[in-house]
Amino acid sequence: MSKRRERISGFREWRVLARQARRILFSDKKNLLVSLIFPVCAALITVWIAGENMFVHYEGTKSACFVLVSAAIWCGLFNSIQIVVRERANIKRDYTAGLRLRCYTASRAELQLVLCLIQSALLTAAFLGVEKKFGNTLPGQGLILENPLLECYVSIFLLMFAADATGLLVSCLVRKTETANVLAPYILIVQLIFSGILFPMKDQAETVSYAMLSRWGMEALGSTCLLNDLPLKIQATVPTVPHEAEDMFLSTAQHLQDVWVILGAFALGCIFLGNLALHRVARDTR
Amino acid sequence: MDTVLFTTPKREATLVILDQGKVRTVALKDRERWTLGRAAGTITPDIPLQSTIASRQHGEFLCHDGRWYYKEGGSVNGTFHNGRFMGPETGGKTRMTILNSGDTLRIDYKDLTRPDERGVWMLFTTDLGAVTWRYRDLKGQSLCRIGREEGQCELVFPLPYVSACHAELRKKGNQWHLSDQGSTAGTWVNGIRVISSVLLREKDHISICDCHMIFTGQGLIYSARTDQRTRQEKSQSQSRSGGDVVLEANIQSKVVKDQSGHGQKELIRNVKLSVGSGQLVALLGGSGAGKTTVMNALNGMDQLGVKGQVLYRGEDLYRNFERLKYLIGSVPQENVVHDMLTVEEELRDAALLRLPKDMGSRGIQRQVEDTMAALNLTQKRKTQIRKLSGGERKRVNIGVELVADRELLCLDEPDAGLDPLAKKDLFTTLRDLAHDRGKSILVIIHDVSEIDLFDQVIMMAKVDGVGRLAFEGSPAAARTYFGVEDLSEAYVVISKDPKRYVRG
Repeated sequence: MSKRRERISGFREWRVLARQARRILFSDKKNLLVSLIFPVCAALITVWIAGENMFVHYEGTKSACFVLVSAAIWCGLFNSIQIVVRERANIKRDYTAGLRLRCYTASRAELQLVLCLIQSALLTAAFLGVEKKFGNTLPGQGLILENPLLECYVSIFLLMFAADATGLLVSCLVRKTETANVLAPYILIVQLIFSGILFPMKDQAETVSYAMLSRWGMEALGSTCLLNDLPLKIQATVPTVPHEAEDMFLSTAQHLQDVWVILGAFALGCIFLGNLALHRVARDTR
Repeated sequence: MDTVLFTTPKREATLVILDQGKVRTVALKDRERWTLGRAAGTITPDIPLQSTIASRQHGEFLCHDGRWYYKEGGSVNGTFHNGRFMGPETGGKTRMTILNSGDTLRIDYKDLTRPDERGVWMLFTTDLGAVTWRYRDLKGQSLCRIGREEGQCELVFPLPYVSACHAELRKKGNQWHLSDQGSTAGTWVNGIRVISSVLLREKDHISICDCHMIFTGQGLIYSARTDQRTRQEKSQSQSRSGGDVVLEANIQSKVVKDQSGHGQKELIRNVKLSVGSGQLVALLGGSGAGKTTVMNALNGMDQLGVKGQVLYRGEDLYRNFERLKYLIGSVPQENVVHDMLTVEEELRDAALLRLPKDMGSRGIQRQVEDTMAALNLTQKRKTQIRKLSGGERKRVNIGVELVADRELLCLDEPDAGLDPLAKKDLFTTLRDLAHDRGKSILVIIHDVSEIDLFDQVIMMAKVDGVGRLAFEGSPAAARTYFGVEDLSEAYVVISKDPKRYVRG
């Protein structure tokens, strides 16, 4: 009796492609360095510009969280927005030779996930910097996890990875690197405008804001940082001014869990859609 | 083992016939009309059959203008061509079909899923590459594995695109089942890819790329393609003597949507050409003459809107593209490689993604080494591709397809941006690949300074906005045909009066 051999596994193909992606990333040291320096710079800027009032009053904390959310989205988006489009000709060639596109997409997404894990850790270090420089600390306990810093790390990671997946989707959709580069800032601007932080969102604008990663990122960080419990800046001089709690920053474990699920689903959805879009590569002409 | 040898005569169409449990081959040579029927009394057809369900004048094989046709002869039970019923003759209409290599003809009752034991099975083939027909008896066995590795399989095809253990025939009760063993190139039964396991019926046609097997109920008749070395040696000798035809095209037209999106635009018309085994062929022509369109039609990469036929070793390429695509490599004009990887890494990844899984780490490495040696890249194996010269990058670009041991390579302007020396080096390498390794290589070029390295020239011309074939032959014949000493002058000659030179 012969042992039945499995069909050429997608897993093996994924491993080959994942190794290829790692080699490409590590051989391009300059880009890798920029990818790692950016969250460090963003964390330092957060400490420098917004650290003093972080966890002191509502406005200061909200601003600092907004800087971190913006940095995470920017970081994720720029990690991946070129990654597929610049390899499009290679993908078409390999696809014609029988490549499984899902293995390709999964290999690139996996590497991005690892990169985001590292970058998120660097960005989350901003909270430690604020504590060290100004003595302002996170609340004593997280909503889901014991350690609030770890909870913030998970939120920032999920946000960054969802932004990264958005970049991956765009990279799968467009045919030219230039188009991807042009689109990136616009995506970021839309994300920031509809975050609900810069402008109040009403009616249709509020509906649109539900599709924005920035909104969910702010909800996650705002919940862990107990934004609703922090005093308003004006309350230092006029203590009678009431601080109305916002649903966005509801500090419950259930709310945070819902936000994490939404961010995770967003990431997976973008990767799935990106993979679907990539099938159009077969129709690419010279 | 009870192995009976049948040898296909060369250079002629051949019928492999399974009739009343016996296999024989009939070479269709020296004549243009062959009658087929049951031998009875004084009537003796050219191809006599023993089967009692075959009619006395069952059909005819006709050759016209180099093409073979099968014509129904008013039989009682009719004939199936590739599983499709095409007779008996009704209403006085003649039923005739074109035959391509690999086509099957069957005489049986109307339900092929319940074949009659008296049925006749015939394979029409013009594949003269290196085919020997053999018989594998399955009596007394319950398992027969088909694959590349001799130690693992009972039926061996020593070809790189065949997996080590490609497919398996297993007897369950009195029936044989065929299953694909996770092969890269896939296994087909009667033109349908085997996904899991299929019950085999007598006279089922099993294919793996260009290898064919016929299940007789008691055994397998199979076309034994000779091993790689023998094929290379054969190609070497054939490339000098004209060789057997790998690719044959008769493209009547190729149309695409016009810019408005409502009308149609014809890109090429009446392109009839062939590419021989082990030959280096240049595809020339001015801008817009349809070189890339022709190449993409020839390699099957762009079949949309193509009217006509492309035959790969006699088999319809478009109809069997999923099965035959593993034999064809397409090298684009731009260097589609990962610049950040080293030469060895790039070729190894390409080999891992393209070659069968069970080739093993050593097999893959051997293939990579072989490719680097063939392309003179061994010294640069650890160099990042972005640090290579233009010519070396082009070689890596070619290596990505060569590492998968493609039989036919189609290259779109591989010399673009190269200096004259690098150009000569590249074309010399390509010629060596064709002559020494038996590859058939079709190359689009503009610069004809090294044209004498090529065995054949195909020249396209643009007439009224449509690409037409202007010439096909050797470089020397091209000079004579266009009345020029330097083939680059042919561009000028054609542009002055393109209609004068177009063929067909």
